[in-house]
Amino acid sequence: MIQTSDRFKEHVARALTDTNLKVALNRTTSLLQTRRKQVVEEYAEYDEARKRAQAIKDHTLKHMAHYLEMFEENATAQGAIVHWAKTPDEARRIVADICVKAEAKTATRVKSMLGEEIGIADALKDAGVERIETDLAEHIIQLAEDPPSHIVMPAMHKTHEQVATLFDDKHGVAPDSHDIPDLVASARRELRQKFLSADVGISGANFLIAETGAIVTVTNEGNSELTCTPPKVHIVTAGIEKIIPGMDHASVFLRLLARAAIGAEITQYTTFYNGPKRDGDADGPEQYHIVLVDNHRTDMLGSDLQPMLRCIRCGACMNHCPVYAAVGGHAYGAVYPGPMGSVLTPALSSLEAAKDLPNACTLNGRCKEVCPVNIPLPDMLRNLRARQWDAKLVSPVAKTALGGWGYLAQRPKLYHLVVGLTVHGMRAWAFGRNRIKRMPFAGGWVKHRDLPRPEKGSFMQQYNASKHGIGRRS
Amino acid sequence: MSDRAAILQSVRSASRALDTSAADIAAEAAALVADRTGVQPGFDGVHLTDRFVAKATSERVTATVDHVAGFDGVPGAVQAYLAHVKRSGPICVQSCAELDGLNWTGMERGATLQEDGGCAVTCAEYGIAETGSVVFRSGAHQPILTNFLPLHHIVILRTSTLLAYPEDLWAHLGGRDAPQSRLLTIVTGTSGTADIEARNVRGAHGPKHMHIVMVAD
Amino acid sequence: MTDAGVQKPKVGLFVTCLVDAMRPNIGFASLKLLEAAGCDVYVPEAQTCCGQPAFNSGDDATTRAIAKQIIENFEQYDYVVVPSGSCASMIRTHYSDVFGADDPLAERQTALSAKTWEILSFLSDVMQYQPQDVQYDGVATYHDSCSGLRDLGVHDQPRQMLAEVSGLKLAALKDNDACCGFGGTFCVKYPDISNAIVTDKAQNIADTGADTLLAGDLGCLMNMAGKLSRDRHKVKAYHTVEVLAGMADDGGICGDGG
Repeated sequence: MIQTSDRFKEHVARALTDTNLKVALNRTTSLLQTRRKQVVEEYAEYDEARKRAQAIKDHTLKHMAHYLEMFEENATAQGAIVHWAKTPDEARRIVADICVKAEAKTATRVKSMLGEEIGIADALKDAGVERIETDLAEHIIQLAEDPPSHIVMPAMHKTHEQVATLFDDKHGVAPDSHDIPDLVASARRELRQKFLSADVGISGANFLIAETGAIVTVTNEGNSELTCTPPKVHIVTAGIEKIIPGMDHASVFLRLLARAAIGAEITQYTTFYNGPKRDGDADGPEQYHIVLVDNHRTDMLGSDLQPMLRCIRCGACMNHCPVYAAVGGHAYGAVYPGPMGSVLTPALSSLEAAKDLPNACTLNGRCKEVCPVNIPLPDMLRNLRARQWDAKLVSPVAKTALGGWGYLAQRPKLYHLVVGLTVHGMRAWAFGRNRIKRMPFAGGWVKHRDLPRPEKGSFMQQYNASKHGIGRRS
Repeated sequence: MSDRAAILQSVRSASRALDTSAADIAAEAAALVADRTGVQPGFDGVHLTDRFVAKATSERVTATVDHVAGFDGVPGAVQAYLAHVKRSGPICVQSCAELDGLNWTGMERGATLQEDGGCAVTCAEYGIAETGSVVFRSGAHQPILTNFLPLHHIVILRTSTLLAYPEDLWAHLGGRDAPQSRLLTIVTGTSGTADIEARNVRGAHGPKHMHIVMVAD
Repeated sequence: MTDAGVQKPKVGLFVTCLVDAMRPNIGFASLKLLEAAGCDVYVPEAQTCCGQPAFNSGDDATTRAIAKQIIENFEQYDYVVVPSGSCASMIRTHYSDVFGADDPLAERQTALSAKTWEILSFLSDVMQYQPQDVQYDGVATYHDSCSGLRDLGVHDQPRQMLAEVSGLKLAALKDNDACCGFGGTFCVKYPDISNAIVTDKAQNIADTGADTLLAGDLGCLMNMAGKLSRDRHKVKAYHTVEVLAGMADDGGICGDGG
């Protein structure tokens, strides 16, 4: 996916007039919030699990080299071929190479945001491999030629009416009706034979287990197992930050992930892949590759962005973000949208390329509240703003305005004089009415809202006057 | 420098890895999960089987459950299910020690599952009461696809294999030094998706119906 | 109420820049309540802003300079009380972000932050004060401002205090803890997104059928009241302290006048 975060304002302008998007977001975000809230309330051990998950991640990040080497050793002993890729280019080259060597014509894919991040679609195109997305949402966006708009539900931006039109047009056999169950059934029908005839199956990994060399996929549809079992080759692409020590540690995260992501205690399929087909196995791929990807994760390690590496990609933050709910995922112009995307995107690209993202946030803190691994997202977004300030990426207008404000704020007498005059001016501008509907220099505000008419003086003016026995003006 | 070396070097310098011994790291890791009860949802004295059944039949899981006194009762339970869902025709029964010797009279067992709409009977290796889940491992007698291709999935579960928590399962499997199957899957109910408007729909790509026959033993 | 003979706590009232300019009534209501609660209230002359605009824009240096001024002018008091969750939180939870451990003022900053309180939690949790004989006739709905709620845990206190007001009924607000879209500089940097968020909030408020909106932050109140007014919903918006002090009689923020 080509990142277009630098056109955030443009995307937002479009998103805010997109009535279908508003319908889609209204139908989904509050439902997801309710489900999560319910299942978390039922889990008495939730706070302890969160603390522990954070501690496990912090411990693992502290000893990351040790655990990555352990993972490689154990995975290799189980028959995996482990590859390392510092950059997306290298990761794509490795994947394309494996496909070419396997003479692959088709590849089925399980949803993986890391796969999006490294541009796996391009790798497959380069290798002349037909890409078949199997996750329902990925299937929808493949047909629609859209990028993903959410990390757990990539087609969140589509209403079911839009999906129905798409399937009517693109499915071999049109859906029986436009009801959601029939749309799902249509996708089931469309993809079934493709699973069984694919040459390569590509998945991501929700976790990498150092102690055993296993990878874990956490899914609902059955497409992970149907993608990773029939083909001759199974390729896993995973960010290095997915590593955790062992199986008991995985259990802590698994309890949090499903609850935070979809409001369930567990997803339908929690699957551990240990290696290729064993001698005598009734089914399974002969070749099993794991591509470990860095792509700036080592840059985040040891910096103030390190907490971002705890992220387990649950999507709870964006489900609770008022900005995401207003503009949808595409506005962010990146693989990862919402609060976690607003931290990660500058880290994966640059502060400049994603200039708006850390700023388009009210710092309301709901994201931090619902994050299962306690990532202090608002603090990190603010820290990115501080980095932008130091890198002189703030607009001259904003810098001047804030500079002026800061200057006055440090000179109380002058400040109070200016405020007193402004209050007086605004009150006059109101022309005796209680509300101000238009005002110069306040365009951003009065475009959508009224301003109150100020009182006859600032608080400090009135307070000082009352101290001298003049009484409070009203 | 290879990418591997470059990445590990970056990791080492960024995490300012101290010279902690592998043993100490392992001890720290173990300490983090030593108190399992802190994160395991309590059962409040509910019996394992009751917990399992309550979870498996809950709205979030949607399996149905039947009970038989012994393996002899399995074919009858399967037949009862097929009659209930009005399904006739051949079914696919996993070829394994537990099921091969049973009396399957009246049921054709050799169906393949290439076409949709099929019914398969497989044996779960374990059950997990915490979540109402069943566990399968790939092997010579366990084609994994048999658990994912059918529309109707009938799972045979021995009550003696019921465990409370997944942590108990890891302990049973013997850790990293024990042979690992290619795949281990913890299956909780029927395949589903909420990808369209967050509406929960059953029967995405995997089974749409799961019927668990619990064999008392 | 303090016992006779016990020294009254000395409170430095920090009214906040928005209250100072846009609604002094909140400052006077705060003064009244604090005095009624048994405090000696001081209003340091040299107060301007808590530094939030600079902080939220990433200008740590200016933030620190403004914070230094607050420390110097308020540290002499037993408590610093603020009629705003976001400004109180700025001082209480965020000042430490711009004073490193080695900063010469670090200790003084820590001390000041520790004794800074949002007003409703101060009145309730520290002074155990409940205003008596307060009257307000109406049905109010309450919005929980984000910083007060999430940073400072202000939730029960305003509700408990409002429960004692005669004539006042409370109607629950759908998504009461959802952001109103103000976000300080956010609402002017991204006005259309802010508008989308406050439009939903205003609709939720209107749907309660309440004639009054209450909250603990003037920024949020101006944002919501400004939208309610623009969309011609007849709702009177007050800061909670205005009602508790019996000073909610001018039609509210962006209201029709007293």
